[in-house]
Amino acid sequence: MTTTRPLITAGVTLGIGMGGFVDGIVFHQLLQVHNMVSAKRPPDTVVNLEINMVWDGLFHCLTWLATAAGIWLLWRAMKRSDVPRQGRTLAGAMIMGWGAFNLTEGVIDHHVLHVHHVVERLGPSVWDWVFLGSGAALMVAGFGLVRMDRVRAPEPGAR
Amino acid sequence: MRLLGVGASVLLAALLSVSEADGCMLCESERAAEVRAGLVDDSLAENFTAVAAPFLILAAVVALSHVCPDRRAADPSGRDHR
Repeated sequence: MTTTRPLITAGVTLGIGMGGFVDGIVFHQLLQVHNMVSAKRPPDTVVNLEINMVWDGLFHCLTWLATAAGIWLLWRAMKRSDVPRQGRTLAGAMIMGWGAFNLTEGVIDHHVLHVHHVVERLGPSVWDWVFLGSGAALMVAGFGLVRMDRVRAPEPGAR
Repeated sequence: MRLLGVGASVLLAALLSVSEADGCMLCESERAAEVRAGLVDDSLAENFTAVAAPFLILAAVVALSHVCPDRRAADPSGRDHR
């Protein structure tokens, strides 16, 4: 009897954490198009920049915790003999997690609370919808990968 | 998940309670008081929600989906017959 459920749970959790890191590292730090509360505290003064930095730090704490939880879940899953080691399923689940993060964070922070927008200098813009679209696309792509592995029977003796 | 919230709250509280004597860059800054006031203003709850809610919601969804019965687990071949 085999089950991929623990592998998918671990992958999705890892994907949520790593998706959060992509957001924080790429958008907050490298491109600097927004920060956590930049719609309310535009980072155009040192004080506001420091305030945003603290909130960005708390955000990264949670992405770190999600990633750590994902690693722990993956470790537990790999110790089970009934969980097949399917790389495509894990990759698909991680992509699903990344997409789920983009969708959830996009809806809550960009469209409901308006604490920041993807390109802050534009305010609410098409980029907010592109971000949501990327989340949906990643979820579909990840789900597709997981399904591809599901239709294949595991090889005899494979874990 | 409650632990996550408590952990983040404790972290923020610790950050805000550090004194200048502790050598914290944020606290040594001339702008420290202004920054602290900006962190603990009327929007504190909303900002905290913005940071934590996506993770808490996703964690709840993942946890729920994990505990739901796995229909495929009963098939020894692992095939999906849906």
